[in-house]
Amino acid sequence: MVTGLLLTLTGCWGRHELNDLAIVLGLGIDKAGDEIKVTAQVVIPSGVSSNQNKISAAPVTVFNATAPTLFEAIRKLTVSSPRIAFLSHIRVLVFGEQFARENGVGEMLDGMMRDPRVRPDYYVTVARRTTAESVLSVLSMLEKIPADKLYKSLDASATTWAPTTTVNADRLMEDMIGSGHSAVVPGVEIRGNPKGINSNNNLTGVKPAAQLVMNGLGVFRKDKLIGWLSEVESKGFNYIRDQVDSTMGHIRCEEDKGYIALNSLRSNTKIKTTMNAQSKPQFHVKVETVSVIASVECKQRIGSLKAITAMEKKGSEQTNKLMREAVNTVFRKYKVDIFGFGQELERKYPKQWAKLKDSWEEHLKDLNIQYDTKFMIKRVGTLDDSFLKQIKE
Amino acid sequence: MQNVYQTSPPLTPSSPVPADLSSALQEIQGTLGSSSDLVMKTFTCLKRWPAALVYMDGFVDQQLLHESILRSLLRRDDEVSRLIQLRDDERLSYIEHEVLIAADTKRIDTMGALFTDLMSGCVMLLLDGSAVVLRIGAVGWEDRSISEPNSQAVVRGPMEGFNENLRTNMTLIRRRIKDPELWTETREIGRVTKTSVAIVFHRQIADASVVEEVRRRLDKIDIDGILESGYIEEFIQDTQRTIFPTVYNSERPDTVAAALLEGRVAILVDGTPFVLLVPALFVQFFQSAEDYYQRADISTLLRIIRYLAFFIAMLAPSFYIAISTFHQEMLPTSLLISVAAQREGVPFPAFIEALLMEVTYEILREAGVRIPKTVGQAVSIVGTLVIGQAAVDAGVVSAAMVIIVSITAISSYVIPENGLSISVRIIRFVLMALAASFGLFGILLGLLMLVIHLTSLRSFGVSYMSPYGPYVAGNLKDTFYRVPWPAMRTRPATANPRNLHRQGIDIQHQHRESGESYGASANNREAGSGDRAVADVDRLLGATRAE
Repeated sequence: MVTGLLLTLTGCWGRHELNDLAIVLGLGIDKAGDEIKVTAQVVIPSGVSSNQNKISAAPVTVFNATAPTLFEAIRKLTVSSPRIAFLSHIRVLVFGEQFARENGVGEMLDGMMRDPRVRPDYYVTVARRTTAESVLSVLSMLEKIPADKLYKSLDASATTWAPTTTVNADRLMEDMIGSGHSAVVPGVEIRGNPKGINSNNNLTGVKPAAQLVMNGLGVFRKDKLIGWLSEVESKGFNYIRDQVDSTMGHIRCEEDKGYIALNSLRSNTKIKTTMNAQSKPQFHVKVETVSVIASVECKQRIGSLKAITAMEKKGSEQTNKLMREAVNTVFRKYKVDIFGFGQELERKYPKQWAKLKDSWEEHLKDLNIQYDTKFMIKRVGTLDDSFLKQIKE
Repeated sequence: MQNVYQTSPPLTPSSPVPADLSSALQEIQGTLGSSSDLVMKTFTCLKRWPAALVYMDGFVDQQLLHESILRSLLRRDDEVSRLIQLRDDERLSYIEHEVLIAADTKRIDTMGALFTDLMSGCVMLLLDGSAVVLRIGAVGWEDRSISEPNSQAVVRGPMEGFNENLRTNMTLIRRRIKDPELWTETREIGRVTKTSVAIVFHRQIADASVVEEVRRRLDKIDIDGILESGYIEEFIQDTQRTIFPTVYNSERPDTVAAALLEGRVAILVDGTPFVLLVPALFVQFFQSAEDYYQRADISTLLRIIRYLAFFIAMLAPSFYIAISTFHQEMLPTSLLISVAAQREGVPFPAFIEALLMEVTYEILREAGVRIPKTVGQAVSIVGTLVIGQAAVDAGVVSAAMVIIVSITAISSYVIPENGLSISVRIIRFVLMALAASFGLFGILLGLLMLVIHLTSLRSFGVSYMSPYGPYVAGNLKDTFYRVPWPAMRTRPATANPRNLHRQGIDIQHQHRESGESYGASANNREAGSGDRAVADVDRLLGATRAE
């Protein structure tokens, strides 16, 4: 009896009914003078649920608040939102480009990682050439919730398209604090007409007026954004970091113009570190990739072992070139080690690393790096030589 | 209760029956008052001696009464010279042995015994001048026929269930176990009802201490009436402070026979088809008779489903409450959003919502049991509306809650024994309150207390949670899973520890006393049947010599 009555006295600490919560799926952080501006993309459950017939409602809404610190701003959201922000289900964290360049993402990430209710498995992106607020205000097709759309398209393209990669909060933190490598964060930009993007009108046509596109990787020094990698450089970067699952690539034909498209099934990269006589570090990047031929636009024969070996050779040269260019650009332009060579060195030769550590960024441009790709073509598909040859004759 | 014995006319059970016929009849009439179903037929026995047949109308097989008893007593005896010679006390013996056509006869000389047997449906032959009454067994009343058991139906397996008659029920068990070592002891419990209660056990398999304990507990019962085995169950269970059934009941003869072979003791109560089985274990409540008739792998799957259903029936609403009010981060995002969408506009907290629906369902269920069959349909329509789409559309409850209540309700019927599913229903409400107060911590707390309570329970000295706690590896073969019959070589721990083997050579030693031979080879079997034939002849010869 007494125990029964005690139950009613607990006051239910930490109890929140579902309809008292504003489920935040996307959080954006922008610069607003000296303060920070937080944008929360909150899902409107009845707008999302499929069995409701209130189609007119938008699936999400956006709340803004400006305050000196992140959590003050999040609490301040209640000024405009009728419900408490519930951060456990955040899918994406978007930084405005200006914020990432000038303030750095470190302090914000500390706050997000410190809160025990927030799972650090959301993806981090940088709004390229725009603000986080505008990115979170774009409604999307196919996926009703824009934050979900961002999450899923990052996920999908990271596994099937070499230039993209995903970075979640955990990984970003590790990259920033670990010695010997720097962080990268994928960029997202608004493509199309930014006007009227935040209403359902954006979704009425076949082609939305504006949509969110993954574009390039942002290079960070410490916690500040310093520049962007192009698509080709991103690809080279991902090859070196062993982040390519499967992708599509191409090689040029031997004689005539045209391409052979190659569907890369899997790829595996290992970096081997050695010391030469002058106790200079040497890196040997070994890539193993398995492809099948997806399409052939040339007249050359591909059915023979010789032809395939030739193609393999070409593919391997091309991949080497891709990586070499990515490394050269990054080392010359940004002088940061996003590839993690320093980390490899630390693992193998910790003593030498301790000496080089402080001046590592100066050493970058003279690093001795060898690239070696083992490019394998396993199958040619259901056709042998291309029938284009017969058509043209 | 005491009043029964104090009101007039005083009946002293040991008082002798008056030798004078009319005063004897007067005394019977006086004790029974003017009960209209008392029949006292006076006649002249063998056209010579005044006599009376006394019986209760409706209890007695009329055909037997008329065709054999009355016909034999009313004939004119030709051996007149012999009749004249008989003294008063020899007459009854003459009638019993040479006149009466009836097998079940017994002499009675006290009023107490006379009334007990009279009320059980016997015919009393009172002879003028004799202080001894001849009791003639001619019981024949209307019984419910043996039909399929309602509460424990199976797809494959015997379709007959017990009925309300103790003798019929006993026969149903004996037909399955044709072994003289199957012993029964009958006693009468209930000062007023004098209900027959039979203890049935296999002498070689059951643990003697358990049998003794059953006797002791039954003898302790002092109540005016036993109308159902539930009375006995409450009296003999180890502790009253539990919501779990510690006595198993069944209306299936095959289940009872199987339990007897596992060394359990069956308690049959006259007037009910539900037979009690002790000791009862927790795992037993998840066993259905059918498990043993179909393939072991199928039975195992069904067992697992039952355990799953047990936990769903117990935990589903409390989990819903805990997760939707405390641990929203545990749900996958898309599920959370769709649950949140359903809860939009629901005016109650999740706990109240769940309580509302669960109580509604319990009311409907109770109504379904009590309702006259003719109006049942109307109620089920109304009921479906209440806990169905209408409630959701009205915005009183969320659709997710309806799903939770439905799955809970269905799951609670998967448990084969009704007693346990009632316990689960009680626990469910407690866990819901805990979940609403402390979230998953509360549920865990409740489950911990439940486990502690369960492991502390005993049923006739056997641990209720055995073979899990205490862990007995050898007894696991018929618990969460069931091993195929050839592998089930030993009996569970409820049996007499000296006689654990179901199969194999050892069984010969164990059953030697019972005269049974379970030898594996054909030779042994023949020898066994030969022995029996010899025994039969011996018995016949003995009987002839006695005559």
